[in-house]
Amino acid sequence: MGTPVGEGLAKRLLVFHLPLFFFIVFTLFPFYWMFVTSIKSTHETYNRNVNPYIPVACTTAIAEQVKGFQFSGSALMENCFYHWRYLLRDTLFVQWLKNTLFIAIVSTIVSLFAGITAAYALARLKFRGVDTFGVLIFITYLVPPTLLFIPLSDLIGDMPLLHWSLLNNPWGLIVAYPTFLVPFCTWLLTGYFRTIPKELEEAAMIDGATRIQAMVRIVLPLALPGVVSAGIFAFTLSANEFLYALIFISDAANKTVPVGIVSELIKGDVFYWGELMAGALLGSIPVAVIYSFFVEHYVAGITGAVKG
Amino acid sequence: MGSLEPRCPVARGKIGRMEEKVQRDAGEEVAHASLPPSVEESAASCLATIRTAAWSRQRAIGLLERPDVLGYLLMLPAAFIIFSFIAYPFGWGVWMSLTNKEVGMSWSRVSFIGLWNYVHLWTTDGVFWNAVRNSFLYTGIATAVKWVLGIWLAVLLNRMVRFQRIIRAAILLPWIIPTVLSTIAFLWIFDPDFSVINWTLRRFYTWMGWGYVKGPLWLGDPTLALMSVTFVNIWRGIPFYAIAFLAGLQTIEPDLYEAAAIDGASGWQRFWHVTLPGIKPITVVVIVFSIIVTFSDFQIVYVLTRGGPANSTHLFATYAYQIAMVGTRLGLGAAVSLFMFPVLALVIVYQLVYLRKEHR
Amino acid sequence: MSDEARKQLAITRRDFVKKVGLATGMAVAGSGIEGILAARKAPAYAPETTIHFLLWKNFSPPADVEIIRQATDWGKRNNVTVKIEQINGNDIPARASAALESKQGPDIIQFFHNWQNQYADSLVDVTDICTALESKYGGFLDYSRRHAMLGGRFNAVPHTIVPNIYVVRKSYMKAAGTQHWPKTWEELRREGKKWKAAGHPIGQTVGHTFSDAVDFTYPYLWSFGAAERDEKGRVIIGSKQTLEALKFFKALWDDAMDPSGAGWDDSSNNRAFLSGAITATNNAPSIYLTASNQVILDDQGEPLVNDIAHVSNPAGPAGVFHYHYTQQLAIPKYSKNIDAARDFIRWLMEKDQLSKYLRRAQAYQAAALKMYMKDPMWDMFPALKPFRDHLLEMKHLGWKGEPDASAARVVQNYVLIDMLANVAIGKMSPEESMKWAEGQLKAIYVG
Repeated sequence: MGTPVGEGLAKRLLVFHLPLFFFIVFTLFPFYWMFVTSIKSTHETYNRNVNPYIPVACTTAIAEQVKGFQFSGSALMENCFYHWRYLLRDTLFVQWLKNTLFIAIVSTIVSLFAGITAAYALARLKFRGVDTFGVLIFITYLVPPTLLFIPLSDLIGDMPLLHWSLLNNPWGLIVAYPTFLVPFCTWLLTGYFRTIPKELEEAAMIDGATRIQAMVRIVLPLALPGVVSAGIFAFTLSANEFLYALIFISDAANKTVPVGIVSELIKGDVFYWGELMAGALLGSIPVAVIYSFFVEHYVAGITGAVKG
Repeated sequence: MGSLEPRCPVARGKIGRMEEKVQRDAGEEVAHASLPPSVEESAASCLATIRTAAWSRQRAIGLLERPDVLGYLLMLPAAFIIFSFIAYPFGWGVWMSLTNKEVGMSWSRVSFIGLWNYVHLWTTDGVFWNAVRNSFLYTGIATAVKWVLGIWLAVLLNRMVRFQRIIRAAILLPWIIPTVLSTIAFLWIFDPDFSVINWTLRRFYTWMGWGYVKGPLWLGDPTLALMSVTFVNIWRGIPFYAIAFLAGLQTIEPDLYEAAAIDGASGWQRFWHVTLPGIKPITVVVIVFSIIVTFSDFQIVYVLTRGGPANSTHLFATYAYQIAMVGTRLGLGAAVSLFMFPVLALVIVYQLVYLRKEHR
Repeated sequence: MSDEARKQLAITRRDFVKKVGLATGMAVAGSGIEGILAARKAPAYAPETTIHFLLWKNFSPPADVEIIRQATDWGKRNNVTVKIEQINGNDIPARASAALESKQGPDIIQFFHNWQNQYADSLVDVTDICTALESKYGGFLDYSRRHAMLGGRFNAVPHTIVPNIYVVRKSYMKAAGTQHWPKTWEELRREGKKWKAAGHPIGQTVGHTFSDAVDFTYPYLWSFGAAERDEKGRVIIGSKQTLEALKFFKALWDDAMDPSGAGWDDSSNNRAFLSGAITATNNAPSIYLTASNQVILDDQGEPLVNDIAHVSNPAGPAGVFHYHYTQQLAIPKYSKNIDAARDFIRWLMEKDQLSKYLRRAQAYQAAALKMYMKDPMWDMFPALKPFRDHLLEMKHLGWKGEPDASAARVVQNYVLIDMLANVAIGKMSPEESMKWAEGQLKAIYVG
């Protein structure tokens, strides 16, 4: 819908600001809840008689500091960020974060490479079997991960021909994740490549460029938004993955953020809610930062893919 | 072949422009290595050497110019990954579903039982149809709600001028955060004794003077439990829909709206006749993708209910996991996983047909 | 050099030469005294042996500290690295399935209930260890023994047991006018009705979770005389005893129980109890231990531990039963360090280690060996003594049939739990639910 011309303030509030406010509350409330839980003491979390929206001990400590014009980091630490400190100091959280980033980045790069080449071939080149390839890639989407992980752990435990075991190794996940990332990247990028006019490449090729040169120097730069959005998408999917990471990794030091947090901070009868919530928030920050830089590209990337 | 070239410095000027280019590409480094030319070598044989080298080089490039060769070459990485890490496991899964294989069972005891697993699920299994029903409800409701709310949110985001970037990034948060972790937060939000929703409801009731209310059992009531897991899926999925639709909205030519406005169309009519058709291509793509992902969803149910209470929230994936991974009946579990394959294949076929139609 | 050390050295060298072979033996002999010393450091196992031990995150955290200490200790003595991997109990089956199917992973896996009977083909026979333990320390508790056995062969070494009985908040009970803990289910229903009216019902999960739901369902059914199978293995769940149990459960649920239990996991009743939402629940000692270790206060500001009592499950027409889930250690056949794993398990089962482990776990777990019933440990934790007193009132899974792979599958697919849940949440009538469970059981026991 175009610009809201001639709408009254009341109407604008009703049809624009109010719904938007509703959506923001809807999406962000759980994050507020995680944050509040992460700065409450365990005792407060389990007290059903106090207002759960306000972390009493923490706000009291802050209020005292503001009143007394005195800043005390340790008081803040004891009353507010106790769980955060536990998470960062007494668990391997930082290590998990590093593992997650490493695994997500490498598997994204691998998948993007395979996705770009395959998508270009599917979008531009006519060769026998191109349609079959296209359908196959779509179909691989459908293969349920719950079906894959036993045979996959078989494969990863004893890599064909090489006889390496990649179980309990970040590389095992890097090998496993492209199974769902490559079909996705290919699908998104095929659409995107189709939006780029063929004439540009053809002109370059008449000027003496080879097809590969035309692809790398002409098409790829134009497809950058699409590549960025596919990359972000792939990064998110691999950073969120849970099942393979749970099954394939056994050392606490090799775990990813979701698995590390779940297996180290849920101790049977006892949930470490504060640490769990702090971990959930901290664990999503790296991806969030990347998104905030690229969100426009991301939108543009999908836009392109759709036009195709 | 490059190593032959430096011996023939005399031949340099005589070869064609194309060949020289090839030589430069291929043998630049070697050309600098100043091996003294052998006296006996004739210029003619030298030229022939170069011609051969250049020709095969050119042939290589020529081959790469052929769409079929290049096509296969470019498909190679993806094909390698798909065939080695999906095709084999998939084939394995299909084979398992036709056997009585259990975890760790020695192969001598594994026997081929045809479609027995499928027949068993269809006719006798007392949970399977629950899982089918739940999967369809879960996918259907979640997709419909995400679709409607996603478009709505996209329209709002598209109108927004101030704080655009930060709001868009914030809206995306539910989709970014690792699902398991956000679902654990929901486990706490839905906790029967500590639910913040119920606390709020209780306060509201007391405030209104309606007396005491314990609040709904979000995960304890069969219908509510299914709705609760669906809700989490919706919460998580809306950002993806909204951003994709936002992208779709930006592809619509503003002229169309102006034309519609001139024709006197109301806002609602403009939405119906311009916006919706305009984002149809992305709608198809997003919904197909979402249906597939939602249909095989695992994490949310696994964390919140593990399929309980009384199997009211089991989905295909969680039930397959329970049977195969926990109950160790791999064959039967594989059959559960594969049961949904035809359904999803239909969705994919629809999308392919649609895409092809759009292209013509 | 002490006598002890000399003896160790002698054995070690013999073993070493025998196992590592002549070539290495020569090398040791050739390098004189250093060689012998090196041999003492690395006894029976190949150099750089690592054994990988998969177990749960204990509900009693100090136990984890102790098991890690013991593993490190044993590792140092034997020059073996013991790698401990701890995961959530609910995730062990999936982790074990992937490992046993791909023949890679932990050298020792801790299983609960009789889970490992599902994998019997792939597990090492440990009958010798178990018989040696039985002759040294007296027998295992009967159900623990049966859970670890299949076809006359031990496929796991019974290690510990997590006992479950009723945990009660005395003050709530008294306030509602109940003087004594109910002796029968009928009485529990009558008294529980008062508690529920007072806002503190009985808490019980019938959700999909490995511990609390099983711990209630099985003994409840047994106490009505209901059984999965008869001695010949025929499914007999469709019986008037089952029906009676289901009908009564519906009444008990509606009258006295907290309806939120349908959606609970293993941790929910602990939270509900500690926060004062319920009067009683069937649980392991974790509620008590949390209340005492974290000094949780009740509504009056008094320590909550003083208000907690541990009492027996009520009796049904067929008697009083409890369910204590067993924990045993198994070695997969794929392991490359079977000898080391066996020695390690043997060592863990020695009195020095096991009794220390149980003490550090604050009596959260009981030992699988009978003689620990008389362990002075129970006097150190008098409040937990009732757990010991009811340790024997239990049948094994699959009763009256065998606790075989199918019996484990019934647990893993929550069949009997769902049979109760169906009735509780009103999804099915008692008759329908029993029929449903019968179908499920037949499918599992045949297929």
